[in-house]
Amino acid sequence: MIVNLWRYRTYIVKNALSDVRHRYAGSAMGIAWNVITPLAQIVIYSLVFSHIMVMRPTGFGSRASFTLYLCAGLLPWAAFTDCVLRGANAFIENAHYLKKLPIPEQIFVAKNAMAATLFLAISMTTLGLVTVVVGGPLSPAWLGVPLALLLFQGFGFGLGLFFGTLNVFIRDIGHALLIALQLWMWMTPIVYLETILPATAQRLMAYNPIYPFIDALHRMIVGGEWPGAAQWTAMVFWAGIAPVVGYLVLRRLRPELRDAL
Amino acid sequence: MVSVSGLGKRFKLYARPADRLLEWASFGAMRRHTEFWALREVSFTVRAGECLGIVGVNGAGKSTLLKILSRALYPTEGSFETRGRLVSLLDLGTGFQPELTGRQNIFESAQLLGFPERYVRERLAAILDFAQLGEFVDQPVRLYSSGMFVRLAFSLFAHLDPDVYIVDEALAVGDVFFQQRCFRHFRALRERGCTILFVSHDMEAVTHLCDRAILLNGGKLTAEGDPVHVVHDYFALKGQAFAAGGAAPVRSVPPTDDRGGLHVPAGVRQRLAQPPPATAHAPAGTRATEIVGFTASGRDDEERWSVDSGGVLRFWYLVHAREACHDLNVGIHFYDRRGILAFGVGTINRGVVLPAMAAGDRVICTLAVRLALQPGQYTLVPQSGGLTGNSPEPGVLHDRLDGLPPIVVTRAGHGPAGFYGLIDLETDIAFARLDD
Repeated sequence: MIVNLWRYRTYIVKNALSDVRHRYAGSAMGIAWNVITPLAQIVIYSLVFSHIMVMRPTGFGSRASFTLYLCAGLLPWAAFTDCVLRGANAFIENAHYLKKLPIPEQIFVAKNAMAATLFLAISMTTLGLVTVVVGGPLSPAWLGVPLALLLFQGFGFGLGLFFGTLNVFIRDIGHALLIALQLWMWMTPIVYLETILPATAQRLMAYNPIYPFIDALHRMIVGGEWPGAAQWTAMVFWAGIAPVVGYLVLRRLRPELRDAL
Repeated sequence: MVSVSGLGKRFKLYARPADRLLEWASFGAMRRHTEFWALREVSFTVRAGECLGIVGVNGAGKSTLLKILSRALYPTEGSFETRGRLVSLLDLGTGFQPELTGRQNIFESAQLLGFPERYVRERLAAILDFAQLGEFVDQPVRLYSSGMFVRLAFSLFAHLDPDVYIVDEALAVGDVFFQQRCFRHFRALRERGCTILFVSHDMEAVTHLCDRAILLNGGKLTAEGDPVHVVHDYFALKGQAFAAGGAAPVRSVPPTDDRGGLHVPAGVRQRLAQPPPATAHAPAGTRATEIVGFTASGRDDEERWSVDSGGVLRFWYLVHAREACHDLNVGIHFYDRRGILAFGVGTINRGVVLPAMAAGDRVICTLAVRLALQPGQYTLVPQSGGLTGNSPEPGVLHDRLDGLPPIVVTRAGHGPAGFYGLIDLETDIAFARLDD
């Protein structure tokens, strides 16, 4: 798998870049929308949650820091779902290539994951800049953010590969995934604080694969502290195991994959 | 080099999407699919530098075979090996993005095929020159006419310098000048030692370009060998397909004079009593009627297989009806050394109606052909067949003789050649001197 991804690296990167460039093609502001969109999101979150639906949980001194908390979870989560959902449709969308050309299948999932990661990079950079402008805490722990995000996206790529393969055969998966991901978001402390959960739910959080990623991001971005070794281990584990499982499934079903497209 | 052994491809067909879910959920205990074998036990080899034609009616498995060889589909059983860089031209312009310019698409598409950018850059000038797009090179592809689109796609594929080249119906596009350039390019590729697999419904092109051909029918390889013969088998198949499809009433044939007023010299009669000097009867014929005797004679009724260009040879058939036949068609084809059909004619073409035959009947038929052909060797392929309802040729092939000795057309007299080209068309020349 790695060899093929490397062989097609220029194709993947180029297409991901053109995805970023062309997503807002035809508009007057063009590429600027890539920054405007996350910026608007950040502003909206901060307005809604700090002024309208005032949630100022204990432990959060300023209004701004809850916005930071929200953005630290929601922006990566958006990129992650993008990665999984578009990965799940990657083979179907590119059926016309797969049916005619000897291209390794995983290229298309990788391309989508790469595009989602680029968007994420833009929006997180925006968040960082906003934090600086507002005068928020930009601790050295921010340095760990790119690594955590990459691991998170790696996990998303693995899931995309896994569901993308199955989705070709059972198309219901793509639709079910939409619901499942929403459910998953609410089962993870992204828009709320972990502390509001009952104790049992907090204990169960250890089995939620998303939790280590989101929690680590919260710690680094909001708390300014470096995540513990256990958290890094969990992140590396999920980011490593998902692509492997995804690839094993793909390899098993590959002989019939293009027949079913 | 391409070698294929025992290749088979099975498709699983599910009546409903839920059926697959059921089958998977039960770990295969509940079998809900029906199998369809698009290919089965197909084996052949193509030597390096050889051009193999692949013919067959629609749905015969040609495309499946090519997709497997170009690694877009995985075979269910069997194996294949291709040596060297393979480029497959399954669908011109696959991977072209309408928003990108012609130049950008060349790079993009080549990358999809696994060719590095540097490789394309070296050949860019030649590609653009061949495509002849003019200023459109830097315009988005969506503005192209369909002809320009195809020219661009073909020139890209043609310049990738493959060792093995797979072409599917690509030459049916473009104007005649572009097609001629494509053919020239093919020949150049072949001379360079490129192996070509060529699928086409254009039988002239197949006999013309290919060294060998295979015929696929219902996923099986049913004939292999000389393209001319394989093409004949293909037409025979098509004829059978017609016969199976339509039961249109057969035009009633008023029987002509049984004797036909034909004088058969004793020598010819004697030679017709011998088995024909052919190596084989075509396996594809139905053998409803059989050519049991065949010979050629000159004006003197002696056996003769060569003639001066423009001279007449008389071809004699003794046809035996194994089944009743009321629409017998007896014909002959001449192919030149390149496999081009120089001339073909049958009783049907000339409106001659042969007598209806009962099972066991025999008829002697003769075609006197003026061979106004360029001097050279010609293979001749006599055949007997039936019409099919009111449908035009080819009808149903009953019998065909393969491997007859070639006809040699010799040059008459000395001096300049009587004409150039394949056949001698009647030409009247007149002149007048203008004195003032």
